[in-house]
Amino acid sequence: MLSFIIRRLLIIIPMALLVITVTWGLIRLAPGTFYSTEKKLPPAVEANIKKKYGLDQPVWKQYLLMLGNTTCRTKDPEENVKGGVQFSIGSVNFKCFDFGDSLKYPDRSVNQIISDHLPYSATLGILAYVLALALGLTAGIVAALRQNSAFDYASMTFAMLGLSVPNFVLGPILVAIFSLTLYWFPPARFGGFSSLVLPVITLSVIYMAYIARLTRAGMLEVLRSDYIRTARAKGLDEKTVLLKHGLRGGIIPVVSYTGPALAALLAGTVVVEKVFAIPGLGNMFIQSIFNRDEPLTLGIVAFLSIMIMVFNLIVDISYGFLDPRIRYE
Amino acid sequence: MANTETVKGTSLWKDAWKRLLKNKLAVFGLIVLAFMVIAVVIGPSIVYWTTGFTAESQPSSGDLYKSFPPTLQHPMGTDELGRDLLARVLQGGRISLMVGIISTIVSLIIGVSYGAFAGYLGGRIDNLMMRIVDIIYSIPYILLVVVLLNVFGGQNTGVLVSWLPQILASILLLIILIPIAVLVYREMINSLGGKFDGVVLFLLKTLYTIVAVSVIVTLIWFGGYLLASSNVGAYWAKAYTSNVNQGLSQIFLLFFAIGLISWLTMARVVRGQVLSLKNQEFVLAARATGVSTLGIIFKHLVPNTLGPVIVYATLTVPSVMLSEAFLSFLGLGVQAPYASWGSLAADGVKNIGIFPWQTIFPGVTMALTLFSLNFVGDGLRDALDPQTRKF
Repeated sequence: MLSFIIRRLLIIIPMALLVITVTWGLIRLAPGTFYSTEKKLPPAVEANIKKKYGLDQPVWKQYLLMLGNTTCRTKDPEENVKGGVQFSIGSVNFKCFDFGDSLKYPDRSVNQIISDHLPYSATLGILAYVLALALGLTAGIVAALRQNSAFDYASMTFAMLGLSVPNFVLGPILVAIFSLTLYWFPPARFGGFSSLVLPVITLSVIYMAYIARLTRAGMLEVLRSDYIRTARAKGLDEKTVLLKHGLRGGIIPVVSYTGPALAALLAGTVVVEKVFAIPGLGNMFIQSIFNRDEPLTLGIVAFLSIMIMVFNLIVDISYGFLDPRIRYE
Repeated sequence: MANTETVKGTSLWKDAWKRLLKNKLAVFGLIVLAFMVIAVVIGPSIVYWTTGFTAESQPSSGDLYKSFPPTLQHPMGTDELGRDLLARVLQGGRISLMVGIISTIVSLIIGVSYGAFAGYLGGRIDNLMMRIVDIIYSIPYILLVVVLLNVFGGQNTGVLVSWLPQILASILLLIILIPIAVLVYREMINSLGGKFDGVVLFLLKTLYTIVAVSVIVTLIWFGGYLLASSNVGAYWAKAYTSNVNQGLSQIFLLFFAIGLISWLTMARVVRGQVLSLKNQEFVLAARATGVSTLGIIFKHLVPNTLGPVIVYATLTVPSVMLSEAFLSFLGLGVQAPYASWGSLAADGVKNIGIFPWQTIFPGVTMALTLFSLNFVGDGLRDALDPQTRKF
């Protein structure tokens, strides 16, 4: 088990490097730069800008510099580091995960932008996650236990509806009903509990629907399996059979879905942030791509991809606890 | 399977069709979809003949805005420019449904062949191919689409076309050269296998592989260089850009961009299926009778994965349509004057407090279609896969 975890953690390093490399290549492939304007810059000015940001150097040097900036590199003694991790081996100083300064927002480092905007997305994301899990799991379990009942059909139809309504339609419709007609919740902005209700519901509906369907399918499959029959046969009461034996097996597809889903939720979903005017990380990311703000894009991509891979690892580890038949060598 | 039609009795597909027809929700979905397709194909013309695309009469309240609420003449109301929203929704449906179908076909072709190769070849190649899939999974797909649309879209449509001769020539060269290289390799092993053994043979194999790969790469590079210097690509690009509508080519690019990012799950599904199939006796029999690797993959393995593939394809269509709507919502997808359900709803969202019908009708039409597609996909899964029936 331990060697499995260590191996998977080590695999994360080359994979993250590859993701960063591909992202960098994609940014460089896209036409336009962060300094390009409507009017063509005088050649002297352009040359100066290129020199300042090291764009006049050969591509492989720029690539290595970018890689050093996004991961780890040695630090000059007089260099001012605003974020990330610093340590020294012997007399050599290193700095890690300091993504440098944003090109479009001067005087703001990428680390600062991420730490400024992540809390909004994370608050929304965690609340939506908890809501989706609570309602989705309950609906799924009850639907599986009362298969073909009215509740089963109703909840599954609702789940299908949740999967089919795009959230940029659902959000504005909720706003139109609850903010502009009933005046229950504010239509936008971030502050206080009441302003969180609509965005959290909008964000969680699709995940809730998915979790409910997965839970129901998983539970139905498990409830027919032999070990549940054994558990019943040896005289366990129905509650233990369902919650201790049934749920543990039935929840596995949900776990493998919710790991990556949590990462996506924490990163903020662009649409909800746009509809409700929330200054989250997702919008920042899209803006950075449009602005060709290379350090910001790379910083967010590195942060998110490592987070996704770590969540996937946690999911894989938790399989072992949920299903004793799964072993990692 | 499908090729046992000479046998009397019910085939797998007939059985599945019967089971599908018993599922009321799936039948409802099929009917809605059929209606939607017919409406989208002939609807705009009917609207044009009966009411026209623009509103003629102006209600007394609407002096400033041309967007009227639904009336009998314009059942979905009109948009800000006074265009009949029903006609817009129907025309948008053409693009939305086309995105669903074409992107799914693109993802089918890539995903099925990729997954089948990875699963059948196995071992290190499988590991490598699946790691590539993992990496693409972790790249934010919005970045990929933005770059694709930026590099090749808009005024740069010609770029892609100017590369076409090189790409075609490379593929042609690969198709010719790789079988030759493999044939020579087999001949070499046959004639030399008796004379040398162990390390020497291994060294010879490695040397041959390096030489063959470098020869192929050089030839392709040289051919590409010749083609590039002969300006065939530039000529094609010029002819293309002067003949083709840019808005339309942007939409087709969008189809491919979405297709290129949505094949990953399909590849995983097919790989899983192939992994469980490849050790069965019929594959062994095929190999024993000398069927080539390609033949085994595409004639024996892929037809057997068709059930799950069809199911996932029907579930890919709604997810692809949602991606398109999402991209259009961000302003990256379909550009005016063209419209899709996503872009129509996104346009309407800006004024939802004043003109709610501009959002509600495209949004509801899209939701209804996705709803039906999801039900058909679910029904197909139950019908084609009776052992793991979920209902």
